[in-house]
Amino acid sequence: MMPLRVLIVDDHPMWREAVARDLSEAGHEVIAAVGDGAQAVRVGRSLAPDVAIVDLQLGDMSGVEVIHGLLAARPSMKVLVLSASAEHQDVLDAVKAGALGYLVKSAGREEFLEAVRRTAEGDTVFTAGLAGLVLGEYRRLATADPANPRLTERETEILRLVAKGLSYRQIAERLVLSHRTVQNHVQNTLRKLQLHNRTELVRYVLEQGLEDD
Amino acid sequence: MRRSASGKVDTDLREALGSLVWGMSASPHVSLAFPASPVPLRDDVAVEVTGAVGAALDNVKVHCGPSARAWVLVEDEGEQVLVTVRDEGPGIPEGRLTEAADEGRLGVAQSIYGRMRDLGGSAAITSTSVGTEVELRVPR
Repeated sequence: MMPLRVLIVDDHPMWREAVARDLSEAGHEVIAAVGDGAQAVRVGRSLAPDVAIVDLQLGDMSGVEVIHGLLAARPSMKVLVLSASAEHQDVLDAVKAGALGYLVKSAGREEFLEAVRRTAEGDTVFTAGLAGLVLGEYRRLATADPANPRLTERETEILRLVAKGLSYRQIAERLVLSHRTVQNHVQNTLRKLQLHNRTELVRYVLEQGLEDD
Repeated sequence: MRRSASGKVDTDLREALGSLVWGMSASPHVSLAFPASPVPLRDDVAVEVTGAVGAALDNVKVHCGPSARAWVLVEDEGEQVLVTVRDEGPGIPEGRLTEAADEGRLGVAQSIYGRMRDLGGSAAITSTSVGTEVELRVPR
Protein backbone atom coordinates (compact mmCIF):
# COMPACT_ATOMS: atom_id res chain seq x y z
CA MET A 1 0.00 0.00 0.00
CA MET A 2 1.15 3.54 -0.79
CA PRO A 3 2.20 5.52 2.26
CA LEU A 4 -0.35 8.25 2.95
CA ARG A 5 0.28 11.89 3.85
CA VAL A 6 -1.88 12.53 6.88
CA LEU A 7 -2.95 15.63 8.82
CA ILE A 8 -4.06 15.15 12.44
CA VAL A 9 -6.36 17.74 14.01
CA ASP A 10 -6.97 17.22 17.73
CA ASP A 11 -6.58 19.52 20.70
CA HIS A 12 -5.24 16.83 23.05
CA PRO A 13 -1.42 16.71 22.67
CA MET A 14 -1.11 13.18 24.04
CA TRP A 15 -3.79 11.91 21.72
CA ARG A 16 -2.14 13.61 18.72
CA GLU A 17 1.13 11.89 19.59
CA ALA A 18 -0.49 8.49 19.99
CA VAL A 19 -2.31 8.74 16.66
CA ALA A 20 0.82 10.04 14.93
CA ARG A 21 2.86 7.16 16.31
CA ASP A 22 0.35 4.55 15.14
CA LEU A 23 0.31 6.07 11.66
CA SER A 24 4.10 6.38 11.42
CA GLU A 25 4.60 2.80 12.55
CA ALA A 26 2.20 1.72 9.83
CA GLY A 27 4.43 3.49 7.29
CA HIS A 28 2.42 6.66 6.77
CA GLU A 29 3.75 10.19 6.80
CA VAL A 30 2.21 12.53 9.35
CA ILE A 31 2.78 15.89 7.67
CA ALA A 32 1.31 17.89 10.55
CA ALA A 33 -0.44 17.35 13.88
CA VAL A 34 -2.20 20.46 15.12
CA GLY A 35 -4.62 21.27 17.92
CA ASP A 36 -6.03 24.52 16.66
CA GLY A 37 -8.83 24.63 14.08
CA ALA A 38 -7.76 27.79 12.24
CA GLN A 39 -4.21 26.48 12.01
CA ALA A 40 -5.51 23.13 10.77
CA VAL A 41 -7.34 24.81 7.90
CA ARG A 42 -4.24 26.87 6.95
CA VAL A 43 -1.90 23.86 7.10
CA GLY A 44 -4.35 21.62 5.29
CA ARG A 45 -4.79 24.09 2.48
CA SER A 46 -1.07 24.55 1.91
CA LEU A 47 0.16 20.99 2.46
CA ALA A 48 -2.77 19.15 0.85
CA PRO A 49 -2.71 15.88 2.81
CA ASP A 50 -4.31 12.75 1.38
CA VAL A 51 -6.26 12.24 4.58
CA ALA A 52 -7.23 14.58 7.42
CA ILE A 53 -8.17 13.01 10.75
CA VAL A 54 -10.36 15.51 12.58
CA ASP A 55 -11.64 15.57 16.14
CA LEU A 56 -14.98 17.37 16.52
CA GLN A 57 -14.16 19.05 19.83
CA LEU A 58 -11.56 21.74 19.28
CA GLY A 59 -10.86 24.81 21.33
CA ASP A 60 -11.25 27.62 18.82
CA MET A 61 -13.72 26.36 16.23
CA SER A 62 -15.88 23.31 15.65
CA GLY A 63 -14.58 20.28 13.79
CA VAL A 64 -17.42 20.75 11.31
CA GLU A 65 -16.10 24.24 10.45
CA VAL A 66 -12.62 22.78 10.00
CA ILE A 67 -14.02 20.16 7.58
CA HIS A 68 -15.81 22.89 5.62
CA GLY A 69 -12.62 24.96 5.52
CA LEU A 70 -10.43 22.08 4.38
CA LEU A 71 -12.78 20.79 1.68
CA ALA A 72 -13.59 24.27 0.34
CA ALA A 73 -9.92 24.65 -0.58
CA ARG A 74 -9.09 21.01 -1.31
CA PRO A 75 -12.24 19.19 -2.42
CA SER A 76 -10.38 15.94 -3.10
CA MET A 77 -9.05 15.70 0.46
CA LYS A 78 -10.44 12.73 2.41
CA VAL A 79 -11.66 13.41 5.91
CA LEU A 80 -12.12 10.89 8.72
CA VAL A 81 -13.71 12.04 11.97
CA LEU A 82 -12.16 10.53 15.09
CA SER A 83 -13.98 11.65 18.18
CA ALA A 84 -14.44 10.56 21.79
CA SER A 85 -18.05 11.33 22.58
CA ALA A 86 -19.40 13.63 19.94
CA GLU A 87 -22.98 14.87 19.99
CA HIS A 88 -25.22 13.12 17.48
CA GLN A 89 -25.91 16.33 15.59
CA ASP A 90 -22.19 17.15 15.33
CA VAL A 91 -21.41 13.75 13.82
CA LEU A 92 -24.25 14.12 11.33
CA ASP A 93 -23.16 17.66 10.42
CA ALA A 94 -19.59 16.43 9.93
CA VAL A 95 -20.55 13.79 7.38
CA LYS A 96 -22.93 16.21 5.68
CA ALA A 97 -20.00 18.62 5.45
CA GLY A 98 -18.10 15.93 3.55
CA ALA A 99 -16.37 13.66 6.05
CA LEU A 100 -16.24 10.11 4.70
CA GLY A 101 -16.57 8.41 7.98
CA TYR A 102 -16.65 8.45 11.73
CA LEU A 103 -14.76 6.39 14.22
CA VAL A 104 -14.87 6.54 18.01
CA LYS A 105 -11.60 6.94 19.86
CA SER A 106 -12.18 3.67 21.67
CA ALA A 107 -11.64 1.83 18.39
CA GLY A 108 -8.62 -0.45 18.36
CA ARG A 109 -5.37 0.33 16.54
CA GLU A 110 -6.04 -2.09 13.68
CA GLU A 111 -9.58 -0.83 13.22
CA PHE A 112 -8.27 2.74 13.13
CA LEU A 113 -5.54 2.01 10.55
CA GLU A 114 -8.04 0.12 8.41
CA ALA A 115 -10.42 3.09 8.61
CA VAL A 116 -7.66 5.50 7.51
CA ARG A 117 -6.76 3.25 4.59
CA ARG A 118 -10.38 2.98 3.50
CA THR A 119 -10.94 6.72 3.88
CA ALA A 120 -7.93 7.39 1.64
CA GLU A 121 -9.55 5.21 -1.03
CA GLY A 122 -12.70 7.28 -0.82
CA ASP A 123 -14.64 4.52 0.92
CA THR A 124 -17.12 5.35 3.65
CA VAL A 125 -16.42 4.30 7.22
CA PHE A 126 -19.77 3.74 8.86
CA THR A 127 -20.40 2.72 12.42
CA ALA A 128 -23.85 1.41 13.33
CA GLY A 129 -24.41 4.70 15.15
CA LEU A 130 -23.63 6.79 12.09
CA ALA A 131 -25.96 4.67 9.94
CA GLY A 132 -28.74 5.36 12.47
CA LEU A 133 -28.10 9.10 12.19
CA VAL A 134 -28.13 9.02 8.39
CA LEU A 135 -31.38 6.99 8.36
CA GLY A 136 -32.93 9.55 10.70
CA GLU A 137 -31.75 12.44 8.54
CA TYR A 138 -33.37 10.97 5.40
CA ARG A 139 -36.54 10.51 7.38
CA ARG A 140 -36.40 14.17 8.52
CA LEU A 141 -35.71 15.37 4.96
CA ALA A 142 -38.64 13.39 3.54
CA THR A 143 -40.99 14.89 6.13
CA ALA A 144 -39.70 18.43 5.58
CA ASP A 145 -40.02 18.51 1.79
CA PRO A 146 -41.02 15.75 -0.67
CA ALA A 147 -38.53 17.20 -3.16
CA ASN A 148 -35.60 16.36 -0.86
CA PRO A 149 -33.34 13.42 -1.74
CA ARG A 150 -34.60 9.97 -0.74
CA LEU A 151 -33.11 6.57 -0.21
CA THR A 152 -34.01 3.80 -2.61
CA GLU A 153 -35.59 0.72 -1.05
CA ARG A 154 -32.32 -1.15 -1.43
CA GLU A 155 -30.33 1.66 0.19
CA THR A 156 -32.76 1.79 3.12
CA GLU A 157 -32.54 -1.97 3.53
CA ILE A 158 -28.74 -1.91 3.54
CA LEU A 159 -28.41 1.14 5.78
CA ARG A 160 -30.76 -0.46 8.33
CA LEU A 161 -28.56 -3.55 8.39
CA VAL A 162 -25.46 -1.38 8.92
CA ALA A 163 -27.30 0.39 11.76
CA LYS A 164 -28.05 -3.01 13.30
CA GLY A 165 -24.35 -3.75 13.39
CA LEU A 166 -23.90 -6.07 10.40
CA SER A 167 -20.61 -5.82 8.54
CA TYR A 168 -20.55 -5.25 4.77
CA ARG A 169 -19.53 -8.91 4.42
CA GLN A 170 -22.50 -10.10 6.49
CA ILE A 171 -24.86 -7.85 4.53
CA ALA A 172 -23.48 -9.13 1.23
CA GLU A 173 -24.09 -12.70 2.38
CA ARG A 174 -27.59 -12.02 3.64
CA LEU A 175 -28.74 -10.15 0.52
CA VAL A 176 -26.69 -12.24 -1.90
CA LEU A 177 -24.85 -9.22 -3.25
CA SER A 178 -21.17 -8.57 -3.79
CA HIS A 179 -19.22 -6.78 -1.10
CA ARG A 180 -18.50 -4.01 -3.62
CA THR A 181 -22.21 -3.50 -4.34
CA VAL A 182 -23.00 -3.14 -0.65
CA GLN A 183 -20.15 -0.65 -0.34
CA ASN A 184 -21.45 1.35 -3.32
CA HIS A 185 -24.96 1.55 -1.89
CA VAL A 186 -23.68 2.82 1.46
CA GLN A 187 -21.44 5.37 -0.31
CA ASN A 188 -24.40 6.59 -2.34
CA THR A 189 -26.46 7.30 0.77
CA LEU A 190 -23.72 9.62 2.00
CA ARG A 191 -23.02 11.21 -1.40
CA LYS A 192 -26.65 12.20 -1.88
CA LEU A 193 -26.71 13.76 1.57
CA GLN A 194 -23.47 15.69 0.97
CA LEU A 195 -24.61 16.90 -2.43
CA HIS A 196 -27.91 18.07 -0.96
CA ASN A 197 -26.05 19.84 1.83
CA ARG A 198 -23.84 21.70 -0.66
CA THR A 199 -26.89 22.76 -2.68
CA GLU A 200 -28.55 24.02 0.49
CA LEU A 201 -25.43 25.97 1.45
CA VAL A 202 -25.23 27.61 -1.97
CA ARG A 203 -28.93 28.48 -1.82
CA TYR A 204 -28.47 29.94 1.65
CA VAL A 205 -25.51 32.06 0.55
CA LEU A 206 -27.44 33.30 -2.52
CA GLU A 207 -30.47 34.19 -0.42
CA GLN A 208 -28.32 36.00 2.12
CA GLY A 209 -26.61 37.85 -0.73
CA LEU A 210 -29.92 38.92 -2.23
CA GLU A 211 -31.17 40.14 1.12
CA ASP A 212 -28.03 42.17 1.60
CA ASP A 213 -28.58 44.01 -1.70
CA MET B 1 -38.80 15.74 29.46
CA ARG B 2 -41.49 18.03 28.17
CA ARG B 3 -45.25 18.22 27.86
CA SER B 4 -46.90 16.95 24.72
CA ALA B 5 -50.07 18.38 23.21
CA SER B 6 -52.15 15.97 25.32
CA GLY B 7 -50.60 17.37 28.48
CA LYS B 8 -48.81 14.10 29.28
CA VAL B 9 -45.08 14.18 29.95
CA ASP B 10 -42.88 13.08 27.05
CA THR B 11 -39.63 11.18 27.33
CA ASP B 12 -36.92 11.17 24.68
CA LEU B 13 -36.58 7.44 24.00
CA ARG B 14 -32.91 7.95 23.13
CA GLU B 15 -32.20 9.20 26.63
CA ALA B 16 -34.24 6.43 28.26
CA LEU B 17 -32.38 3.71 26.34
CA GLY B 18 -29.05 5.47 26.92
CA SER B 19 -29.53 5.32 30.67
CA LEU B 20 -30.80 1.76 30.48
CA VAL B 21 -27.61 0.58 28.79
CA TRP B 22 -25.43 2.76 31.02
CA GLY B 23 -27.05 1.27 34.11
CA MET B 24 -26.78 -2.39 33.11
CA SER B 25 -24.08 -4.05 35.18
CA ALA B 26 -21.97 -6.62 33.36
CA SER B 27 -24.00 -5.75 30.29
CA PRO B 28 -23.20 -7.04 26.86
CA HIS B 29 -21.37 -4.47 24.77
CA VAL B 30 -24.32 -2.54 23.36
CA SER B 31 -24.13 -0.22 20.38
CA LEU B 32 -26.93 2.33 20.09
CA ALA B 33 -28.07 3.81 16.77
CA PHE B 34 -30.44 6.79 16.97
CA PRO B 35 -31.65 9.69 14.86
CA ALA B 36 -29.95 13.03 15.63
CA SER B 37 -33.14 14.62 16.96
CA PRO B 38 -35.23 13.56 19.99
CA VAL B 39 -37.66 10.63 19.74
CA PRO B 40 -40.44 11.77 22.09
CA LEU B 41 -42.79 9.14 23.47
CA ARG B 42 -45.41 9.49 26.16
CA ASP B 43 -43.72 8.85 29.48
CA ASP B 44 -45.59 5.62 30.26
CA VAL B 45 -45.04 4.31 26.73
CA ALA B 46 -41.31 5.00 26.95
CA VAL B 47 -41.16 3.04 30.21
CA GLU B 48 -42.72 -0.03 28.58
CA VAL B 49 -40.51 0.16 25.49
CA THR B 50 -37.41 0.56 27.64
CA GLY B 51 -38.59 -2.42 29.71
CA ALA B 52 -38.98 -4.55 26.59
CA VAL B 53 -35.51 -3.56 25.32
CA GLY B 54 -34.10 -4.30 28.78
CA ALA B 55 -35.69 -7.76 28.72
CA ALA B 56 -34.20 -8.44 25.29
CA LEU B 57 -30.73 -7.30 26.39
CA ASP B 58 -30.94 -9.38 29.60
CA ASN B 59 -31.73 -12.34 27.41
CA VAL B 60 -28.61 -11.65 25.33
CA LYS B 61 -26.55 -11.61 28.50
CA VAL B 62 -28.04 -14.88 29.79
CA HIS B 63 -27.79 -16.83 26.53
CA CYS B 64 -24.77 -15.32 24.81
CA GLY B 65 -22.60 -14.45 27.82
CA PRO B 66 -21.55 -11.11 29.29
CA SER B 67 -18.98 -10.51 26.54
CA ALA B 68 -21.57 -10.77 23.77
CA ARG B 69 -22.33 -7.78 21.60
CA ALA B 70 -25.76 -6.33 20.91
CA TRP B 71 -27.10 -3.54 18.73
CA VAL B 72 -30.13 -1.35 19.32
CA LEU B 73 -31.57 0.71 16.46
CA VAL B 74 -34.29 3.32 17.00
CA GLU B 75 -36.21 4.64 13.98
CA ASP B 76 -38.82 7.37 14.23
CA GLU B 77 -41.36 6.91 11.46
CA GLY B 78 -43.68 9.64 12.69
CA GLU B 79 -46.84 7.63 13.24
CA GLN B 80 -44.84 4.82 14.85
CA VAL B 81 -41.49 4.17 16.46
CA LEU B 82 -39.47 1.12 15.54
CA VAL B 83 -36.89 -0.39 17.88
CA THR B 84 -34.69 -3.33 16.88
CA VAL B 85 -32.44 -5.30 19.21
CA ARG B 86 -29.98 -7.64 17.51
CA ASP B 87 -27.39 -10.08 18.80
CA GLU B 88 -25.12 -12.67 17.24
CA GLY B 89 -25.73 -15.44 19.72
CA PRO B 90 -26.49 -19.07 18.87
CA GLY B 91 -30.17 -18.26 18.37
CA ILE B 92 -33.25 -19.57 20.12
CA PRO B 93 -34.11 -23.16 19.09
CA GLU B 94 -37.35 -23.48 17.17
CA GLY B 95 -40.36 -24.04 19.39
CA ARG B 96 -38.45 -22.90 22.43
CA LEU B 97 -40.46 -19.68 22.76
CA THR B 98 -43.88 -21.33 22.70
CA GLU B 99 -42.58 -24.14 24.91
CA ALA B 100 -41.74 -21.67 27.66
CA ALA B 101 -45.20 -20.14 27.35
CA ASP B 102 -46.90 -23.57 27.41
CA GLU B 103 -45.11 -24.40 30.62
CA GLY B 104 -46.76 -21.34 32.11
CA ARG B 105 -43.47 -19.57 32.58
CA LEU B 106 -43.43 -15.90 31.78
CA GLY B 107 -40.48 -16.02 29.45
CA VAL B 108 -38.58 -13.15 27.96
CA ALA B 109 -40.64 -13.34 24.82
CA GLN B 110 -43.90 -13.17 26.78
CA SER B 111 -42.68 -10.14 28.66
CA ILE B 112 -41.81 -8.42 25.39
CA TYR B 113 -45.00 -9.46 23.54
CA GLY B 114 -47.12 -8.49 26.54
CA ARG B 115 -45.67 -5.03 26.91
CA MET B 116 -46.09 -4.28 23.21
CA ARG B 117 -49.65 -5.66 23.11
CA ASP B 118 -50.64 -3.40 25.99
CA LEU B 119 -49.37 -0.40 24.02
CA GLY B 120 -51.29 -1.39 20.89
CA GLY B 121 -48.00 -2.19 19.21
CA SER B 122 -46.37 -5.43 18.15
CA ALA B 123 -43.21 -7.43 18.59
CA ALA B 124 -41.53 -9.83 16.19
CA ILE B 125 -38.75 -12.14 17.28
CA THR B 126 -36.72 -13.86 14.58
CA SER B 127 -33.98 -16.22 15.49
CA THR B 128 -31.52 -18.05 13.25
CA SER B 129 -28.22 -19.78 13.77
CA VAL B 130 -26.43 -16.44 13.33
CA GLY B 131 -28.36 -14.50 15.91
CA THR B 132 -31.64 -13.12 17.16
CA GLU B 133 -33.51 -9.99 16.19
CA VAL B 134 -36.31 -8.48 18.27
CA GLU B 135 -38.33 -5.85 16.45
CA LEU B 136 -40.72 -3.63 18.42
CA ARG B 137 -43.34 -1.40 16.82
CA VAL B 138 -45.06 1.23 18.93
CA PRO B 139 -47.80 3.49 17.60
CA ARG B 140 -47.71 7.18 18.56
